[in-house]
Amino acid sequence: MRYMDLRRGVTEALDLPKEIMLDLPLISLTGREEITVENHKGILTYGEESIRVGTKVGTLCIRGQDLGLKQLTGDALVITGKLIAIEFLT
Amino acid sequence: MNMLSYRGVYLWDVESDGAGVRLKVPMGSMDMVSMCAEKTGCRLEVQRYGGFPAKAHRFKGRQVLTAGVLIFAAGLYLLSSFIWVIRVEGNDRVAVEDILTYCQELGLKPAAWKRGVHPEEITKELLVQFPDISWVSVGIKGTDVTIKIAETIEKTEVLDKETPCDVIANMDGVILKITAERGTPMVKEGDVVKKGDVLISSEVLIGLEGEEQHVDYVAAEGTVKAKVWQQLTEELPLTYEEKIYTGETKTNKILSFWGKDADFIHPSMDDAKADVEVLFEKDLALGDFKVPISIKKEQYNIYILESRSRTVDEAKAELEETLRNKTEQCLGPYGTIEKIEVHFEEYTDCVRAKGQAVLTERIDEKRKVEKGRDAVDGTDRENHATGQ
Repeated sequence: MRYMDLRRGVTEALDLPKEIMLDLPLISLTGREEITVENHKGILTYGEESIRVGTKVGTLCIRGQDLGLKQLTGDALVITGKLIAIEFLT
Repeated sequence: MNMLSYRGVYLWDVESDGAGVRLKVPMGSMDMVSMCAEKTGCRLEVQRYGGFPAKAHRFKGRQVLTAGVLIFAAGLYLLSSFIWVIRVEGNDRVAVEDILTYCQELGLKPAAWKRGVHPEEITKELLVQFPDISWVSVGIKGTDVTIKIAETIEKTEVLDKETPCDVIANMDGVILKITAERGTPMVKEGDVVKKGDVLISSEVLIGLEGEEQHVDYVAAEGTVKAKVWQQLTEELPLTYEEKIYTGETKTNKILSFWGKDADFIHPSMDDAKADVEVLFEKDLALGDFKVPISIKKEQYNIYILESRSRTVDEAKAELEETLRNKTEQCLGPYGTIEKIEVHFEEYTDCVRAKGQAVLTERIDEKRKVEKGRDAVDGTDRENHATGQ
């Protein structure tokens, strides 16, 4: 924990990109029709109304209608559909 | 899916399909997909192969088709390496033909190898060759060359009032009116003049009578109107053949390659005579790329020749009309026809018209004087000295 705090301190002091230095997920939204999640840790559940994605900071739950996985690679995933809510579960 | 993505397999268009999912993966990753499915206990079902690799795989055994595609691509590349169309824009005084002819000398012509054409050199050469051009741009776009031109401002005609010249007669006639603006009139109304006679002389006598006078030379100017006669002859046969169109037409489609017609299917004419009318002509093109093939549609209007005859009176009327038209065509901008006298000679097969037209025409024309101002200052003075 102390190591992580140090790392965070250095990152913030030097203004380095946190998603790289701290391996945090980088989430980008295009309107409410597309969401891109970089630095994910895999898909946990998959359905048309809800998709759960594992990240370093917890499970990201994306809710919507007609959700679909447009792309999936080891680094990033792109989900399309009508987005309703995005929340982090503990 | 997580295992696949972790192992670097790219997945896309993932759709949920009841209990399972339908997804797309690259063809080269199928072994990895099978292995992951086996490890995770999933049932793998390949629905179909698609995309370019799958299509290319299908053509694997079809050598002729592959060769055809390759030959087509090579042909397309080869044909696009030539210049096919040359356009000239912005010219007004300089003729397009002159520019194209000179460009041809420089190597820029249709069917020329594109790499052998150097636009910078052609630009320079055109500027040197045509003084009326102030700016040129030679641009190659695809197989088209566009030569854009800006011409110089036209020089205004400078009226030379310095070089001494006479006004002479350019045809025989009787003077009706003479108006001399500069110079000495040499003829008066009613005088008969021949072609080349001086009408207004450049020599002007300066000084009052009785006092010392000297000759000066000016650029003579003025208008001289005269009555002139023009001889006319024309002949018209009493029998002639007239085209009678039957109303029957035949169409012909022609393919042209490099401007040469390849008329494979020519309609049978059975020795019938016909006038050809081009209905349309179109150069073929693939998008912006023009190919050297054009298609042409012609229509043959079939006619028969029918012997007709005209009476002597009809022939006389026609001849009179023809002679009047001919005379009007020969007439200058300020000329008028006074009278046309025609005498007809009747033969068994034709009528011949002989006559003369009486016209009022301007007959003045300028001619430079050999013994000009320079001569006055030089040669003439020398001669004068020799004479003394």
